[in-house]
Amino acid sequence: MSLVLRNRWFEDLPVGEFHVFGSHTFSELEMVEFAREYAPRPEFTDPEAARQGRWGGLVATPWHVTAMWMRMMVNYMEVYAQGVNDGRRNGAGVGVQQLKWLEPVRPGHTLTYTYEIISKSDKVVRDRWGIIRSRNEAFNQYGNKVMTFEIDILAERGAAQ
Amino acid sequence: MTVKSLNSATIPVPAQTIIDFARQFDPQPYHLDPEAGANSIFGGLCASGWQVAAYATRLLGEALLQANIPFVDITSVDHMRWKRPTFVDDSIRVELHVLDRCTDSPIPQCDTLRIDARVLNQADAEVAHLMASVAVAKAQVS
Repeated sequence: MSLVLRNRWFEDLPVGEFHVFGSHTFSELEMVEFAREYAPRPEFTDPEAARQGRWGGLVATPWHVTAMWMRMMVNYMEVYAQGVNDGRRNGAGVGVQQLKWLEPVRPGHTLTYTYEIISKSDKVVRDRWGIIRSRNEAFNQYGNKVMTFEIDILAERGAAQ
Repeated sequence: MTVKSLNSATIPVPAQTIIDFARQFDPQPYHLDPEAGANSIFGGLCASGWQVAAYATRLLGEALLQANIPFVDITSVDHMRWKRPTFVDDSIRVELHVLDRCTDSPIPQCDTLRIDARVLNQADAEVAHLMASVAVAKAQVS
């Protein structure tokens, strides 16, 4: 029995369940590439300008840090929900709250991403989906929290038993 | 500073952009493959919600800078809701309202603006709604 998210139905996901999705080390190159498309300003795209800027060096743009959470979650699900091809792995996010970026992420920093189910809504979406609320955090290699948010994700309700 | 309402520029979202982002950050079938998208809850290949959020932040930051408000970065999001998918070749823009300003910010030498931002597509339908805080540089004292 594999007690992981998307190979289970909404009813089977307990509040309090905690997962470590994984870790990622941010490189200067990927930070600059992300910023070129999503924050095309010299302090994010040009390491020299960044060195003279307010952070004293290049930092990851906030959504880069958050987007990597998504990648860590998808990777984690791929491993643990292998072979599941029904609705149990198709939940979409509906909304986010209390998202905060707390510390700069610099080239070479390694972030570890965590997930904890904090509540389950009674609401039923399109007669099929329940809503799971989780708290998600990223910690750097010094153990400092650099990002936190809550997200509501759809989880398919099991067929009537 | 008086409360301002601003309209951003518009950015097109072609298939390659959707797929490039998804490969790197959100490799789920409905963001990678048209057929999988058509069979999904979304009904078509569509952009990751995180990509929409990142573009929305770029657009609102550029709108503030154009209005001579020295946007530095987004610092928090009280609330964000994804309302509808952004499909291939949709384009998105942001309508934003500056709600208030406070003289504190997690980024040094900055104030915080709280912003209500609606992300709209080319049909003016709402794609996402954000209540966010952004850092703006304090006026230079010379």
